[in-house]
Amino acid sequence: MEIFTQSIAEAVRLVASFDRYVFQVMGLSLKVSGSAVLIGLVIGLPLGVWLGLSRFRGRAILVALVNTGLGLPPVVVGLFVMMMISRKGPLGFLSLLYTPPAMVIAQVILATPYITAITMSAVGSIPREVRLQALGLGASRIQALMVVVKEARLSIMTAVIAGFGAVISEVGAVMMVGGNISAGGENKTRVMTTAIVQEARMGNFETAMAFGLILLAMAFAAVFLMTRLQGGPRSGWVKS
Amino acid sequence: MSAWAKMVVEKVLGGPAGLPSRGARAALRIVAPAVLVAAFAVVAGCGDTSATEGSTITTAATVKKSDIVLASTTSTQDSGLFDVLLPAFEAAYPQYTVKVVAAGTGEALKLGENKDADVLLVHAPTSEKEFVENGFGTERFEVMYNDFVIVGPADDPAGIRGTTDAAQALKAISVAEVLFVSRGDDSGTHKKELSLWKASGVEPSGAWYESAGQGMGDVLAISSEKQAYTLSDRASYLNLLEGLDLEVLVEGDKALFNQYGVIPVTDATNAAGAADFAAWIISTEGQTVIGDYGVEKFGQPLFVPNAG
Amino acid sequence: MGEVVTPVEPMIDAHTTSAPEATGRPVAPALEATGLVRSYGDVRVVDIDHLKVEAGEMLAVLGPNGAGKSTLFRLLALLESPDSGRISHFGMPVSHRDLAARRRTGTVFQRPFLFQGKVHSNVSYGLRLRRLPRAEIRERVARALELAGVAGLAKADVRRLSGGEAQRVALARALVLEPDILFLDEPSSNLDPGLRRRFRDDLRRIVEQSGTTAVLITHDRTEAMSLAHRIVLMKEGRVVQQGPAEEVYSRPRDAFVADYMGVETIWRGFVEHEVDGLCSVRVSGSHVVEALAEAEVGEEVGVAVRPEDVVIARATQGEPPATSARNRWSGAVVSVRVSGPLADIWIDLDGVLLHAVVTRPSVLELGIEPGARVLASVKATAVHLLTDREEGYH
Repeated sequence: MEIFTQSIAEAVRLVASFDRYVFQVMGLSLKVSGSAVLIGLVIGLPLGVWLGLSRFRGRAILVALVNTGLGLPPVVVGLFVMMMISRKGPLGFLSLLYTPPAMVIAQVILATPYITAITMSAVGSIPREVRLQALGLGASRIQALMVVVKEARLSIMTAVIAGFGAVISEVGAVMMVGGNISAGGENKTRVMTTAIVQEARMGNFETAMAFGLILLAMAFAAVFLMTRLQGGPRSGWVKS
Repeated sequence: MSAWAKMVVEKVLGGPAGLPSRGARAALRIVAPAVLVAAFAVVAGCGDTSATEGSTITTAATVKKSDIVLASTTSTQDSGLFDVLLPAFEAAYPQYTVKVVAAGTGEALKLGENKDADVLLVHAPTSEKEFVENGFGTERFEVMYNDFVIVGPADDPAGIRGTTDAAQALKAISVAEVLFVSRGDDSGTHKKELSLWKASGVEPSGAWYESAGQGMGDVLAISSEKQAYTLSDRASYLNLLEGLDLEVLVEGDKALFNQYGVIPVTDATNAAGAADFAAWIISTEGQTVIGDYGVEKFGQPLFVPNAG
Repeated sequence: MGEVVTPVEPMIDAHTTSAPEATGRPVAPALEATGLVRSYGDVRVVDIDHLKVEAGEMLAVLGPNGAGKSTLFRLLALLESPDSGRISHFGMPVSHRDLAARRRTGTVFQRPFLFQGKVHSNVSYGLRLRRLPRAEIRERVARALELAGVAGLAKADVRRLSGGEAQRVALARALVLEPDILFLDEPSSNLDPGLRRRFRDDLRRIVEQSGTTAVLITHDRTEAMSLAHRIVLMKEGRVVQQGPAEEVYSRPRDAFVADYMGVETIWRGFVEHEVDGLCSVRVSGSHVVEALAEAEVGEEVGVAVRPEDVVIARATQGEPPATSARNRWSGAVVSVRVSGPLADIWIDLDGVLLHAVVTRPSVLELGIEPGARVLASVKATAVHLLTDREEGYH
């Protein structure tokens, strides 16, 4: 049990003293996962809105694909991306392997299904009459769509939170395509999760645990912030 | 897939700012089966990064088998030695099943300290001696040695090919500021590398000196991809040679000597098994197996037995 | 796509441009639809030859669930495009792509579907789309809220509104646009019964005072009767009858219309005699009904008698006084059901059941109770004959 109290103490010490190494690693975690979620939003939001509102043959297959994406193992995604961008792979000329952009790419693949699926569900839950009502008040087709998205915005924020949660805590993909590299005092591709694995491999369980606690605290803080941005309690349109 | 993330999804969906209930049900229909599958996977006993490797499952049920947990290094595992060593041991001692935990040297020693392992096979003599002195291990036996090599890109930008002095080679690399990937994980290999830097009088730092914090196989892969230099044990290098774009540039220096030791853990869970394993690996039989390994495949033995 | 967000110009006043005094041309109907067809898959949900609403009128589209009313609503309100057919507003052809035409209308749905936020931002939504200046928006929103009877609620959050308040806000949201045509889809059916009448009365007053043309969808004939000038009765996508409300009510074309408009008593018989338009119809057994209608001797007809047209008298000894009512039937009261100021009475006329509605005081005064013998009178002019149709009788 002592190891837990020691880990907590170590975690507090590292954060309070603005330990340069830890903050660099934390910073990269946030940058990589944050970018991945933003890009995932750009892809997943329109896709989710489209799938949520449209009806066409073959939609069921697309929906199933998106939902399957929720279960992608990060290490498999990492492996796939690595094979694509390694020097021997088809995209090798880009020299992307073991760089932060590669990590972002892998995490975009992981986060986008979350954002898409939840947006799709949220937008699909809005009664179709809401869009018609907007049209009936003089909205153009695009404006009516925007009304639907706005009505679902709280749930869409949930999609962002879910996507972020999925990628900030994964280790398989960033390890494969990032390589956990730090160089000469400057962090290159080391994020919290891979740093934790390294410390554990080196036998520094206490440090590893401390890092883990810091990661959890960081993720919690981020999610809490996003939840606050969502606004107050239960949303919903008024049904008479 | 992270169970934590799933928990967040479920918690937030069901929480105050969640979806309308229809949407929440729809999302849960997506998430719940995934949670079930994840739980099943966890229960099925996989998903751990440092999985136990190399355990031989025999179906002979006549003898009640006991497990020996052997903590070793990733380098040793990456060399492929265990694929021949363990079956030979288990043939000689059918009552045992050896479970290998391949970790960094540091972690392996820690496992021994915590008695999570029964016997250690590592290559960090100073740390090993300290381990025994502190009472964590019963005794240290020398088992075998192999050597380290400095590998790098074929075009050798730092011009170290054929240098006989390893430390000087490293110095040349630092002067040329060509990319060098270090284990960075306190492993035996890492400690050897640091001792060479010390001997060269150079304190390596800068953007060209990358620290990966991972095992030998991963570091070789990174070095190959980036066309960088690195220090590797010969066995791992040879075993992974096919996938690598690296060549041996410096070898033979006595300083590149890499000694392996086996240490039964004091008061181990399977103390008898640990003692038997140590005894076997330094016996003629064990030493022969070691000496034969690699000859067929690589034309040379990867390890030189020296228990005598 | 062809959608253009146009800045608001003063609305083209279709009335003045086609005012008969000015040009001598007839005023075009506010809304006219011809050959309107819409199918979902194999099913023809709407199939209407012709439908029109005059300016300043309220049209009620009436019919059972599944008749296609909601689809028709969406087609007329330009929210959906028909498979074929033409729609015109004030003589000008329009389509669902016509954003400008749609912006001259306003819609209210069965449920308020208010957007998240405050009442004010909901009601001002349409005005903001039309890029009206802020001061004008504020003023019009205040007026509309007052008109709809929810004046003090501008700053309220929509989540705090009661059902009735929410529906009124939805109404205000459409009224504030000062639309040329107002479309309402079952606006009061989701309200509690107590609120329904108030809502209806207010709606009628508002529409009449502003002279707005309105199209109302409803399944409730009472609502249709109390609000609309014209009624279109739909069944399975087709128009069964359309015309002024009174006409559809008192001269239903067939059994379906009669039943839907609330005629409960429908007997079957054939025409025995016919003299000068006065027919004698023999309904099973000894029961004869006299009706003023055009029918041929021997023709099989349905006989419809409105419950409100039945006058009941206590059977007395001796001859009853002569009255102008051609139909005088005696029978026994089977059941009496009082509800509010009225009472429903079922009378057995030798095996044929007659439904009558009288006032409650009359029930008490006349002592009408099960078993009592009564005399039921119905004028021949009040009896309506239905000609035989494929649907058969109720």
